[in-house]
Amino acid sequence: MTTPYEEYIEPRKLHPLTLVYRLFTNIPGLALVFYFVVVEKQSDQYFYLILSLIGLLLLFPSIVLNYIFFNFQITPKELVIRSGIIAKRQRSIPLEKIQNVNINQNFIQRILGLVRVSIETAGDLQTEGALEFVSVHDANEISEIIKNYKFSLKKDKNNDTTDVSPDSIQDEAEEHEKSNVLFELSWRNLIVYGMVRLRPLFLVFGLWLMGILSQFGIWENTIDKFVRDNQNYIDSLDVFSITMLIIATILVTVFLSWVFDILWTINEYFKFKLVNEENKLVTSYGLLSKVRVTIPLRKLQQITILTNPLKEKLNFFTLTLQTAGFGQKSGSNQSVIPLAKYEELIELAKKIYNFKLPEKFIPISRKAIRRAFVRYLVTILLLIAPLIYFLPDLVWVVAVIPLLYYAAYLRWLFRGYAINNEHLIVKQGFWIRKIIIIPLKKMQTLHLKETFFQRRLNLATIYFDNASSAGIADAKIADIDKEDAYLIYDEIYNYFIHHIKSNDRRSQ
Amino acid sequence: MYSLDPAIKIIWTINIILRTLFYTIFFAILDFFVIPNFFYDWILPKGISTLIIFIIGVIVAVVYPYYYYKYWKFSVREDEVYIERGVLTRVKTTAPYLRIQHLDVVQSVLDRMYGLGKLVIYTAGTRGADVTIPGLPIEYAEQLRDRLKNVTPEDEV
Repeated sequence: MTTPYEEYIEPRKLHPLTLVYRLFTNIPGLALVFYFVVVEKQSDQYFYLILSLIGLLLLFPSIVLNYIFFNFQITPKELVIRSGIIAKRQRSIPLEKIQNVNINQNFIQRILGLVRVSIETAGDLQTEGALEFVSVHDANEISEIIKNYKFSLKKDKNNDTTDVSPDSIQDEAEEHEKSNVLFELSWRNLIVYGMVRLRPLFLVFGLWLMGILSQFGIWENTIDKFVRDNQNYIDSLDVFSITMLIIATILVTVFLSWVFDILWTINEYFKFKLVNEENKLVTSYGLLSKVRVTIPLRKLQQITILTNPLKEKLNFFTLTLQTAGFGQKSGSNQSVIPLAKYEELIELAKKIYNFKLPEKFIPISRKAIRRAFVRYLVTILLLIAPLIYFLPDLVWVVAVIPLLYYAAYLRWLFRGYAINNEHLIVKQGFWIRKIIIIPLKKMQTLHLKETFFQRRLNLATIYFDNASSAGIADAKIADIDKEDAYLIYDEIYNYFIHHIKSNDRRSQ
Repeated sequence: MYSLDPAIKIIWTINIILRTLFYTIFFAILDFFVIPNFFYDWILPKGISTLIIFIIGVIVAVVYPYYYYKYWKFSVREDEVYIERGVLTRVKTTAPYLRIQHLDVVQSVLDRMYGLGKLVIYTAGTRGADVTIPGLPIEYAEQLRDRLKNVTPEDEV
C-alpha cells in the first residue's frame, strides 16, 4: 500500500518562517535588557548589555542549527522525526498507533501562516511528537494522510479485495466528518454565552482597566475638576454623595469587566464546533488563536454540567468533559457544549456518554450548615480582627456575620449526591453550580475522611479519586452522616470490584 | 489489620526533633537578631517564643508518634490494600490492585538504620495519587511489592 502523498516520503524541513517565529518569541527578554540599559540608562554597568549580546550571539546559531537538523518524513507505515545538533534523536511513530493529530495556531503563528501539529499516541510520552511549525496546507495534508491511513486500515479489515483510491477515501472521510457535527455555537449564542458567564475573576481585569483609565486621567481629572470648580459645594458635601460616587465607580468597574468577559469569550469560543468521530470527539474554536482538540472517549473520567445563578434562570447550561492524560501528562478539562438549553444539552450529552440523572438528590447532613458557619466565622474573624483593632470605626463590618450563616445555608442547599448502578452523581456550588457525573468503574482510590470537628458532629466526607486532572477533581460527598458514609463507601467499592471482575470474566 | 513495625515510632520521633530544631533555630534568629533591630516596641521578652516553639516540639515528639502509631493500621486483602490512619483527622483509604500503576520501595537513612522501608503504591489518580505504607521491615516491603506486582494488570485508565 502506498501513501497518497509521495512528497512526504522524502525527509522534509519545517516551514522557513519558523526561524522568524522562534527569533521573534525569543527576543522580548533581550529587548527588555536593551531598553533598560540603553534607552532608560538605568544601569551604568554595561555588563548586562554584554551578557545579552552574548545571549543573542548564541541564540542565532542555535535557532538556525536546530532548524537545519530537524526534519520529518512519513514513510508508508511511520512518521519519523529527526532532531538534534550534536546528539541525534530519531523518533519513529507508527501511523497505526497515532490516536490524535492536534492542530494549534496562536495569533502570531496565524499571521505568519504557521501551524503546530502535535501527535498523540495511546502509549507513553516516548512515542509522542510535535512539528513546530509547518504551513497550514502541509498540516492539513499530514493529518489527512494519517486519517486516511487509519481509514484504509479499517477498509482493509472489512474487505480486503476492494481497491480504494486515495481520493475516494479522502472524500469519504470528509463526508464522515460533515454528517457527525454534534453541536455548533451560533453567533447569537456566542454573545449570549459571554453575557451570562459572569466570571468573578474578570473583576480583576475590570479593576485593571479602571486603573488604566485613571492613568489617562479621564476619571480622576474629572473628579479633580469637579472638586475644584465646586469648592463650596464640596464643603457641604454629605456622605450620601460620596457613597454615590463609590457606587458609580463600582458599577463602571463591573460593567467594564463584563464587557471584557464578553470579548474574551467571543475570542475564545469563536466558531465553536463539536464533531463526533468514532470513539472520540473533536472540538475546534478560537478567533485569534485557533484550537483543535481531540478528546478520546476511552479516557473519559467524568462529565460536568455547569451553570451559574443567572444562567440557570435563563435555562442555559454548559457541558464539560474531564479526561485522563497520556502517559505522565495530567488530564484535561474540555468544554464540549459551551451553551445550550437544559433539555438539548442532556440529549446531546447522552449521545456522548450514556447516563441517567436522578430525579432527586440526597441532601447532605444539616449539621454541615453549622460546621460551614463556624469555619467561615473563624476565617472572617481572623481577617477582620486586626482591621478593627487598628480602625475601630469599622466595627459595623461585624454585621456581615448573619450573612455568613446564610452563605453556609446556601452551601448546604446546593449540595447533594446520588448513586445509581453505574454512577456517582454529585451536585455542588452556589455560584458555580456543578452536577458531576462520575462513572464508578473509573475509580482509582477511595477515601473516607473524618476531621476532629467532623467526628464531634458524627459526620464524614468521601473522596472519590479518578484520573481527571487535579484542579478539577473536586467532587466529594462532603459532610454526610457517618453511618451513611460508611455504607456508601462500601457500596461504591463493592460496585467497583463487582464491575471490574465481571468485565474480566467477559473478556476471558 | 496489621500495625506497622514499632521501630517506626523512633524514626518519627527523630524526624520531629530534627524539624523542631530547625524551627527553634529559625525563631532564635528572629528573636535575637531580627526583632531587636527592627521592632523596637516588641512586647514579648527575648527568647520566649523560641522557648515555646522548642517545648511544643518536644511535647509533640514524645506524644505524637505514640498515637499516630496506634491509629496506623493496614491490611492487604484479596483485591485491595486498605489503610486507616490519622489521630485528629481519621482517613480510610482503599486502593484496588487493579489501579496500581507501579510500586516502589523507598528507604531513608534512618529507615536503613532500623532495617525498615516504605512501600509506595502509585495510581493514575490525582488526589491521593500515591498511597504510602511506612515502617515495614524491608524484606516484607520487598516481598509485598513483588506480590502486588504479580496482580497488577495492564494499565487502562
